[in-house]
Amino acid sequence: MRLGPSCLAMTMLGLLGCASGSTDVGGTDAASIRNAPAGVATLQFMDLEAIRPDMLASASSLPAGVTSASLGGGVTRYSCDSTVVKAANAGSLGGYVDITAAPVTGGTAYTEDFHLSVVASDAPAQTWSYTGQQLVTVTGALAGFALATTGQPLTLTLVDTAVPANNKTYTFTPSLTESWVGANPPTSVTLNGTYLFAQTLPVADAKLISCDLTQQPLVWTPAECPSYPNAGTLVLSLNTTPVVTATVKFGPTCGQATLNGARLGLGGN
Amino acid sequence: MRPMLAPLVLAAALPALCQGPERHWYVDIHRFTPTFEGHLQDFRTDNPVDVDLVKDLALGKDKTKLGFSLEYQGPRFGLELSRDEEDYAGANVVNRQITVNDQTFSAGALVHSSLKATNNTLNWTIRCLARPQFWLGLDLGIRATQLELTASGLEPFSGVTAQSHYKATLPVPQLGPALGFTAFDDRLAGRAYYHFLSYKGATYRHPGADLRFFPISWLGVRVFTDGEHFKVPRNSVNKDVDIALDRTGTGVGLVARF
Repeated sequence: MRLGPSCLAMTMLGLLGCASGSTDVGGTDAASIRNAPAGVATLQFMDLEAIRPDMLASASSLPAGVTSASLGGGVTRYSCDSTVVKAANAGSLGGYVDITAAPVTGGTAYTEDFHLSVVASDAPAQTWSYTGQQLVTVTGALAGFALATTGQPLTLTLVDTAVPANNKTYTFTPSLTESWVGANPPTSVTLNGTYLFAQTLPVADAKLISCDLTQQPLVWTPAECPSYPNAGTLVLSLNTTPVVTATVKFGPTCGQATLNGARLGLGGN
Repeated sequence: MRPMLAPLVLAAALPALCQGPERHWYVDIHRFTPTFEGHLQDFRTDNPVDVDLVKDLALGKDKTKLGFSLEYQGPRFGLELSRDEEDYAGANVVNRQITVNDQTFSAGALVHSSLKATNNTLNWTIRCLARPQFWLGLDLGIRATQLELTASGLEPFSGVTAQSHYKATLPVPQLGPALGFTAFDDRLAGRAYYHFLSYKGATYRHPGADLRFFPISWLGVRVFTDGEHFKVPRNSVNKDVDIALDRTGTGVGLVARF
C-alpha cells in the first residue's frame, strides 16, 4: 500500500516539524569548574608553569610580590608573598621555589625545587601544596632558544580541613618544550608538548588525565599578560572507558579561558 | 490524489451491501505496558537530537497510566477513539556523545532520563465484507504519538551539569486491512489489523490484535497486543534523519458494552 510522496513525506517527517524543547545548563560556576578534575588539571598546571626559571632569571624585574635571594652554591630562592601573589584558581599563592642553575653544554640546566602552597579564595579550609622538583634545560641562544621540561613528577596535595573527604593527591609530569620570540625579555613565549596529571589518592578514585598542547600551543605575551597564556588550547583526556575529553581554550584576552565552552576564570597576579 | 480516492470511495460504499454484526458501543479502561526501543537522529531543526533510548539512556518501563477508549462497532463501520500513556525512566553513563534538544552530553556523562509517550488514536473501520460472525475491512485513521524526553547529565570531568527537554509529536495516518469475528452468541469478539506505510525506504508498520470476552452481556475483559515499528533510514527521506523506533507490548482492560 503506497501513498503519494508528499503525504508520506509529511508523515515520516511529522516528528521533525513538531519538535520543541528547552535546556538548562548548570555547574558552570567558577567553584564547580575549579574543583572538577579538568579544572584542577588546568589551574594547577598553570601555577607550576607560570613560574618559569628561565623567565625569572632573565627578568629585569620580578613580578609584584616575588622576591629573590641568593642562597649560595648557585641556588636562588624566589619567595611569593601570599598577600600579593594570586594562583590561577584565584587563591593566595605563598611559599618559595629554589632554583639551581648549572651550566650544561650549549646552555643551562635549572632545577626547580617547589615549596609552594595555595589557599583557595572561596574555600579557606582548602590548601594546595606543590612539592618536588622539576628539571628545565635551556639550550641555544637566549633569543629564540628552546627549553625542555622533564623530570620527576611534582606532587600536588589538596588538604581540606573542613571536609577531609575532599583530600586528594596528584602528580604532575610535564614533557614540554618552550620557544621564545624576541630578546630578553621575550615578546612572546610558546609552550608546546604534553603533560600527565594523575590523581593517586584516594586510591579508589585514582585517575589519569593526559593533557595535549600540540593542537594549538599555549602562547604568552609577557608584556600584555605575564601570568597566563592569552592564546592556545589544552585538550584534556581522562583514561576512562570510553575516553572522556574536555577542551580548555585560552583568550581572547588575558585571564580568560573556557572549559568546554564554560567560562574558566583565572586569578590575576 | 485522484487515483487514491477512487478505491477509497468504493471501499466506503461497500458496507451498504453488508449484513454485519449488531451495533454496540464500548467503553473501556486498560493498562498497556509496551517496551520502547530505538534511536532518534535528527539534525535538521533547531532542536537536534541524537540518542538511542536503550543503549544510551537505558530507558525501561517506569509507570503506566490507565488508558481508555470509546468505540462504536456497527454492521457497516466502526469508530474508535483511544488514549494511553506510558512513562519510561533510565540512568546510564553514556559511552558516546549524545544530543538532546541541542544539548550535548559527552561520553562518560552520567545521564538520568525520563520519557513520556502519549498516544491518541482516532480510527475509522470500513467493513467491506461483513457477515453476522465475521467481517473484513479497511482501517482509516490517525494516531498521534507525543514524546517528551527529559535528560539530566553530569560530566564529572568538567563538573558541568545540563538538563534538556525534548518534545515531539508524531502524527501517523493509519491505513491497512482489518478483520474481526464474534462467537459464542457475541460473548467473544476479536479483531486484528495491520497498518502500513512506505516511502523511499522509510516504513511504518502497526500490527495489532484485540480479544474481548463478555461473561456478562454488558461487561467483559479485554486482552490485546499492539506494536509500532517506525523506520526512517538515513538518506531515505533525508540525509540528516535516521529514526528507528519500536514500541511493542500487551495490555489488559475492562470493557463495558451497550
